[in-house]
Amino acid sequence: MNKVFLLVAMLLFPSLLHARPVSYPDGWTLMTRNNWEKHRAHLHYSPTKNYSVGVVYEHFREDDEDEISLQLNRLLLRKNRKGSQRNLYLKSQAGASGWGGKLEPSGQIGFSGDWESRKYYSSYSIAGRYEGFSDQTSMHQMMRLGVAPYVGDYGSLHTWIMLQAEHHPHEEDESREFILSPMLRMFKSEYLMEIGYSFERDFMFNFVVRY
Amino acid sequence: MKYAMRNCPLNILVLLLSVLAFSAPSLAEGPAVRADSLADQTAKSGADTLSIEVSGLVCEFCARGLEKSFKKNKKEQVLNISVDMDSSVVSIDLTAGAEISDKDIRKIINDNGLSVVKIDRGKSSK
Repeated sequence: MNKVFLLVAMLLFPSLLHARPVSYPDGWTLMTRNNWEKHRAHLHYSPTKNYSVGVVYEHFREDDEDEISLQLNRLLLRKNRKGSQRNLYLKSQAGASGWGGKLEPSGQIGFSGDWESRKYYSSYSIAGRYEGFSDQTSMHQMMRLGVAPYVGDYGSLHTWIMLQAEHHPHEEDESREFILSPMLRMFKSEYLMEIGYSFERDFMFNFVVRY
Repeated sequence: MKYAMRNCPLNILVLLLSVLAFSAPSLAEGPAVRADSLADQTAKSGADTLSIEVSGLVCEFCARGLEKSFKKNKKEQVLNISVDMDSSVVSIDLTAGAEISDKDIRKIINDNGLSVVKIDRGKSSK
């Protein structure tokens, strides 16, 4: 019963990944993320604007745990306006994680939404994570607010100043339950880079290339 | 003093971010030279041009996707494509005698997750 509830809950929740989880048709995206919690590399391909398939490798730093997963993301809703766009995505991944010589099934599922104009940015995501044999479940939320100090032309360098708030209610270390990180996002043509530093004094570095 | 030392990396990062963020506009110059020279090339050839107003065009990745799709799906017809993100207009210079139907334009743009507001057709003067 507990597992059924969890599965349903996970279907209603999402995974945490802040770059667009679905690209343009025939687009490949490589995303790497490095923060206090993990190193993550994610390669996905979008056959259409509506979904992407990919592979994810994650190394969880604290538990020295590795995980490899297949990923399927779907664009559920997109609303275009003259100067803005908002999106809702369903994100999922399923695979296996290994630590201490053991291997167990694992998965994440959830939703993320964003609204952005050329000047302002906001996003929210919520994810449920499950590790089979150890029966560990956790929930994670993340919100971002951003403003562009200037509006760049097409082909130029675009810059965003952002504040990221993370909520990890199941985190054992209480100081990591709620994390605020000022950050800077810069992107030019196919490349996007994010650097940040949390009030808990943890560095964050993310890099995305889309081609 | 203790507080200042403890927060030293944060202060340095905030300073670095501020410098990067506010110096970046000087790097933010679009490819105007390339667009101008290609526009001249089109004008000389007297080719047709398309101006497509698009909604949802808010980020560089969206614009790149559009550019890539038109070049891939209509490579025989497209001489040059440029995007003005301020006005949300995609300008396409067609090769001499080439055409792209409204239906095809709408399909390519919709397939990229954007929406067509208006399509204007014109002819460049020689």
